[in-house]
Amino acid sequence: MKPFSLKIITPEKLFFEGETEQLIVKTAAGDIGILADHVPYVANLVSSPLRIREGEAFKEAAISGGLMRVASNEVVIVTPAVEWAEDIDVVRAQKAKELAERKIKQHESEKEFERAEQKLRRAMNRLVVAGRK
Amino acid sequence: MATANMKDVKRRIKSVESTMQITKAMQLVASSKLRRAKDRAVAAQPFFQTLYDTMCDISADYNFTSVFTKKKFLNSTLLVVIAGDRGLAGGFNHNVLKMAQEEADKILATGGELRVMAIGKKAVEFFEKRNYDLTDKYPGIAETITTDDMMDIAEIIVERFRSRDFDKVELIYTTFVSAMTQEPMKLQILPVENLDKAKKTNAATIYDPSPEEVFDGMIPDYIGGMLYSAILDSFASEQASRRTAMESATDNAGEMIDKLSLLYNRARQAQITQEITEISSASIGRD
Repeated sequence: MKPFSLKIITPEKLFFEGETEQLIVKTAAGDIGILADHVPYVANLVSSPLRIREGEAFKEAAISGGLMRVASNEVVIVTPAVEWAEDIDVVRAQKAKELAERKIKQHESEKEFERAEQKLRRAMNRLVVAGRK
Repeated sequence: MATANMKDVKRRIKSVESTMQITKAMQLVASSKLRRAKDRAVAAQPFFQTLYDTMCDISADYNFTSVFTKKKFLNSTLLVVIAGDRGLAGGFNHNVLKMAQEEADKILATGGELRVMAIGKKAVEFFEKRNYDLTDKYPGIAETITTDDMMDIAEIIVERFRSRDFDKVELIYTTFVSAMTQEPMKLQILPVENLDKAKKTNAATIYDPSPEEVFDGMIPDYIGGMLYSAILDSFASEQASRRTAMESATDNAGEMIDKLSLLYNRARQAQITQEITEISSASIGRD
């Protein structure tokens, strides 16, 4: 397969810069796979496992929302937070999950509920990605 | 009398010396913190730039509308003020808080509603003491700020903006111009303005599901990125300001010690001279 260049940027650093042949991420509509020569495409991402093809296997990371820009064989992803499967702090994610669940049970307003739900989704995503490696 | 004076001077030299040690240490700590803060601020640039470019593209490519760009009545404002967590940083806190207060008074004077979000202990203390509607307090987050914290704050702002708790968000913080100059400045966060519509890029871009939704979905990240950069910028400014202040304090202490040493030596000399005079006059008297 033809490779294309991929950059993943967070506010803290350039998380990934290199070439890959296939990228799988999730948008609000569902999983989407990107190959080389994709049409120019921009979408918001949701918290999900991010998979980058490395030869026969995929390298996995947990991404917490963000934005993907595809243009002329160059993909740029900007996200507030992303970690490789092996770098995920499972204990912290577990704690975040429990806290979010508690907040969901005893929420005082619609907004609070939504915020807790988002946090829960991020924590679950991290746990799923960490567990799957 | 000379002996008492000498003891006095010696004590003062000691006290100035220990102060100098502290200011010197603070200066060194500030220098190293400044270096780290500057690196982090530089690293945050590409993130923000990519979001900003995409927003410009969307606003240029389509005849689109968003609640985040519309100028509505602009009658109630959220003022986000970023100051330091500690003092002893020269005019750093004073300058930014003075600007914030002027802005707040200006908004109130024109009949607008005002809410204040204070970031940094000094900003919280300042607005608590005065009669403003301080709705959010975030003391002590600047040094160890993570993007998660930032996104939480950004989401709160976006939600409240959507539910029309306020229709304008302004940010006041200190920007790092150079190691010697740090300036307080004001920035409008919402509604989003100053999007550069001039550079038309690829018009065939597909926005999934729609340009509007992509744009609105980016807003929390955009605001989070903006606040994150501003907090790092402000933190770098605080350290630079503290370093300069502590440098001049150390210099002053050095000068003071020089002066006191001179005084001490003079007193000692006078005492010796007097003793010699006494001894020699005594011996003259015996002869």
